[in-house]
Parts: sequence; structure tokens; C-alpha cells
Amino acid sequence: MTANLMAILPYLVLAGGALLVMLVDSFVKSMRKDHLSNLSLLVLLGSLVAQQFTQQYSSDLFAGLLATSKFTFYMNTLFVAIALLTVNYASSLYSRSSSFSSEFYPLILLATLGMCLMAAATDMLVLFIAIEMMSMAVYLMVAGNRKSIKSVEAGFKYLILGAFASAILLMGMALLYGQTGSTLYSSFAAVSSSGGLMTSLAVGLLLIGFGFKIAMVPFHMWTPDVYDGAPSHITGFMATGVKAAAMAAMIRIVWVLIPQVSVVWAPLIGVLAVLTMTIGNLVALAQSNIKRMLAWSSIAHAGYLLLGLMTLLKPTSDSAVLSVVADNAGGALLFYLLAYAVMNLGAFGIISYLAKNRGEEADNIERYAGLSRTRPLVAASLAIFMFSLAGIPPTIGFAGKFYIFEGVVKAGMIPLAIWGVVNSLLSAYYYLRIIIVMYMKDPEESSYKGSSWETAFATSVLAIISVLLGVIPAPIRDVAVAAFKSLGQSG
Amino acid sequence: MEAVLFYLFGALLLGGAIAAMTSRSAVAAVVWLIFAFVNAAGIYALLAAPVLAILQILIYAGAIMVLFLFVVMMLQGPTLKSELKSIGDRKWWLPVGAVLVALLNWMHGVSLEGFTNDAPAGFGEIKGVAELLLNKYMITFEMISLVLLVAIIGAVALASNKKGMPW
Repeated sequence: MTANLMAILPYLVLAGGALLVMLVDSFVKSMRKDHLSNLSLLVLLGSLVAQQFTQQYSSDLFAGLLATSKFTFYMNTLFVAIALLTVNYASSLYSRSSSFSSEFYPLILLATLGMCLMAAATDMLVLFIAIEMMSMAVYLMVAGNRKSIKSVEAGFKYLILGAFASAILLMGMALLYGQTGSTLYSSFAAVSSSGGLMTSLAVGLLLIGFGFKIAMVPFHMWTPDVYDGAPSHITGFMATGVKAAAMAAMIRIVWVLIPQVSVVWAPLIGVLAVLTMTIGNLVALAQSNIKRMLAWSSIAHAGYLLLGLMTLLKPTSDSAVLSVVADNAGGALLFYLLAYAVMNLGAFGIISYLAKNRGEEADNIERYAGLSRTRPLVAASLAIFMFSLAGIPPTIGFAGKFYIFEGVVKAGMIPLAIWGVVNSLLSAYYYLRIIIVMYMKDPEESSYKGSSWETAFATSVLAIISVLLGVIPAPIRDVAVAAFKSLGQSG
Repeated sequence: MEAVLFYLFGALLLGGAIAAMTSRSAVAAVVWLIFAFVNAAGIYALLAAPVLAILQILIYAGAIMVLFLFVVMMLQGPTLKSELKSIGDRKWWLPVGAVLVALLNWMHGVSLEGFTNDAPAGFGEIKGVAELLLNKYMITFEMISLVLLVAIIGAVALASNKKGMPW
């Protein structure tokens, strides 16, 4: 038991930290609540440090309910980094608006814990509770701006549809449990791989449940409204963290259940990936609101991620080739999650930074006019993030897409790869429009000005990372491949 | 004996459910639903699932339905009685119900291939549940407590009357 507890120390730090923040909030009275955000940052850093000390990986914690590996190490680092940036954005927003909500801090810590547990879960029960822990906290954070009708509407929509998706997911899990009498992933390997009716139904329901979380077409309808309504820094957290966590859980399930899953998922995911990126990119072309534009772009990016997942499912007769292709494809997926987090968090950080008044959102693209002259550094960072989202070298977004498409080609699905590239070209139009508005138009009275050096600093660092990892992506990519390999052989 | 009890509980459960649907007062409907839930608990007890029976009474009949009752009474108790249309007034649901019953009858004949049939020995006893909850599934038990904590924080944050909290 002690060994188990030592192994989950990073998770315990997050959980204990959330409780500590709540206690400190009620016992330490202060007008400025900076101490809460600093404490939250400490807790997040603490969990990273704790992770360094608990590197004896184990696949069998708590009788197989949880597994730690290089995979969870990679994902936890990603989730905690996302949370660190979000807390930074939030606290600078709070000091600008001189209005604080202390409930934000425990919620974001617990949401992060939920994400970390989703990546570590090797049992359906743990997975479901972790999903709920993350989702509930995110529903609340989305509805956080209670003065704004849009925010409350977004929170409510997300809650209803999220609950619906959870119910569908749970039904899929129940059907799998009905066939094996166990909720452990490892026991599902015994389920008939010929794709019996119950197995097909179960994995189909799982796909729908996860589809909601990663905003896969046709379960994407909530995305624009929720991303638009939520405060910008929360949108950044959702778009990157929630998507990455759902993807991590999907990768784990796919990797255990390939024979069973691929019967239903392989043809479906191919079609859905094409639909998801095409619809996402086409609708994004018509948006004049940057948050809605990024919401549709996040749907398109879910499509690229699904392409990566597709390569894992591709059945090949030669198992040696399969494992190499799969390792590279899995590594590409994990790398893409990181790349997407860097560029998207940067973009949402800048949107959050430009909002001057409390409750205002800097979401009108026209009002970005002349940003290059009023705020050159911020405009340059945003330009880098847009180049990166469009997948233009030398940025991290290009490297991410390159690895994904490389995997698709190696798996022999060349038409899909071509379609992905065509989509990337299509997306360049709406990403580059923002750069044109910032650089080619003169500043106007109504243009956003923005303030707060913390956010500007954080986004500049992200911009530097985007370029740096765009030029030399190989080391991180090797880490990602190693992380994926640590999941072990499938089936 | 078991068959007699099963049909007794089953009849009362159905009767309660029908009364809940057809009753014109929302409060009376909720009370009928509680009655139906208690009878469902009786059927669980007959199926050798005592824990489920107890939880059904404690949680569904007790906590959740009382919550329903309070909400109904606080929101619109007095006005509801005259305005609420009874579902008994609508006749279209009769064929729908008939189709559902037919479907149920058909499913009764389908053998659920692949599903494990027998519950393990001691399944559904309090001892077994407690052992699972506090030993094997200890970690999930603790996780659920954190999920509830999130819900509590959210309820307090959303319901509190503090002025403006954009986060």
C-alpha cells in the first residue's frame, strides 16, 4: 500500500493542494488574493517535482486500477503545464479587473487531477470517475463569468451535452462489463475479437462518448457556443487539456482493444476524421469572431488527431512493420497534443490578455487592426501561433502535422494524408487573415490595446517554444515515442 | 412464496407508476413515484440484492424523491394542480406502450450471448460490497469524494450572492 501511495504522489499532491487552497482561502483574509494563485502555482510545480521522485513505474497499482509509465509522465507534465499557464492567465486577469474568485483555484487543480487520472486509468471505473471529475470542474469554470449571459448559457449547454455524453460512455462501459464481468482494461482483451453485436455496440458507444469530449463531427455542435461563451483562459484550458485527456484515454483503450475496436472504429474513424477536419475548416472560414474561429479550428484539429488514431488501428499482416508504424504514429499523436497545447494556449492567452475591462472578451477580429504597432511583441507572438496552427514551417504546428501525415502515409492511407494536407492549406486562409489584420491595417480607436506583462511574457515564451520545437522537434518527438512505447505491446 | 411476492411487488410497482403518470397533481405524482420505488426495492430484495434494495429506498425513495418533492412544492405547488394536463388525457401513448411491451416480450426470448450468467457467491451482500469499496476500490471511493467536492464548490460558487466573479 505504501508503494502504491508513493507511486501516486503527484496525484496526491494535486488533491491535497486543492484542499489546502480551499483551507487557506477561508482562513487567510486578504483583499488581494494573489496568495491563492501563488499557492496554486506551487502545488502544480510540486506535483511536477513529486513526479520526478516517483519514477519507478508500475503497471499494477491498486490491483490494476491505475498504471504509471512514461506515458502518464508525459501526459501529466503536459496537463500540469497547461494548468500552470491557465492559472497565470487567470491571476493576471484578476489583478487587472481587481475582482477575484477564489473558487477557481481548487476547481482547476481538481480538473487537472481528473485529467492526470484519465491518462493513468487502466480500469473503466477509474476512467469514468476521472472524466466526471474533470468535466464537472470544467462545466463550472465555463459558467464562471456569471455576469455574462453567454458564459452561463455556455456552461449550461456544456453540462447538458456533457452529461448526455457521459451517459452514452457509461452504457458502452456497462456493455463491456456485461461480457467480461470485470472493469479492468486488461480483461477486455478476452472479449470476442470477431466483433459480436454486443462488442460492436459497446465500442461504438465509447467512440460517441469520447467524440463529444474531443469535439468530433457529428458531436461537435456544442463547441463554438461553449468556446465562445467561456472566459478566454478557460477556453484555452478546455481546448487543450480536455481534448488531450480524452485523447490519452482513447489511445490507451485503443491500444488494449485493437482487435475488438478496429472492427467498428477503423472504418468509422477514417470517415469521421475526414468529416471533422473538413467541416471544421470550412465553417472556420466564415467566422468573424476569433474565439468561434478557434473553436471551429479546434474541431479541425480533432480531425487531424483522429487521422493519427486511425494509423494505430490500421490492420497489417506484418506484425514487425505494424509495431514500428504504430510506435511512430502513437508518438506523433502525443507530440501533436503537445504542439496543439502550445499554440492554442498561446492564442487564447493573447485573447485573454487583450481584454481590458472586466467581462469583456477581445473576440472581434476586426478590432485586432494595427496590433503590430501598438503591441509589437504580442502581435508577433500571435502571428507565430497562427502560422503554427496553419502548419507553416518552421513552427511546432508544422512538425506536429508532418509527423501525423508521415504516419498516415507509412500506414498506406495516402488519400487520407492528401486530404489532410488539402485541409491544412484551406485553414491557412483564416489563420493568415488575422495576421493581415494585425500587420496590414492601421490601428483604430476601437482596436484592442491590452495590458498585463505576465500574460505577454508567458505567451512570448510559448511563441519561442513554438519556433524552437519547430526547428528541432526530434528530441521531444523521441520522448513522445518512448512515452507511447511504454504502453506496452497491444493485445 | 417468492413468486407470490414478486407478482405482488410487480403489481404495486406498475400500479404506482401508472398512478404517478396519470395523477393530476405534481405532488401526488411524486408521492406515487416514491411508492413505486419502494416496490422496486422489494423486487431487488427478491433478486438477492439486499444492498441495492436498501440503497434504492435510502437514496431514490428517500433522498432524491424528497428533493423532487421540495422542488415541486417550492416552485409551483399551488398553481400546478389546475394547469397540469394529465397524461391520461392523451390517447396516443397507448399504441406506443403496446409496441414497447411487444418489444420487451421479444427481448425476453433473445438469449444474451456472451454475457456471464451467474452472479458470484456472496454477490450483493453488504459484506462483499463493503470489502470491495474499502479494499479493492478504495482509490475510486476516494476519487468519488473529490468529484462530490467539486460539485459542492460549484454549487456554493454559483449560488452565492457575491458580486461579480469573472474567472
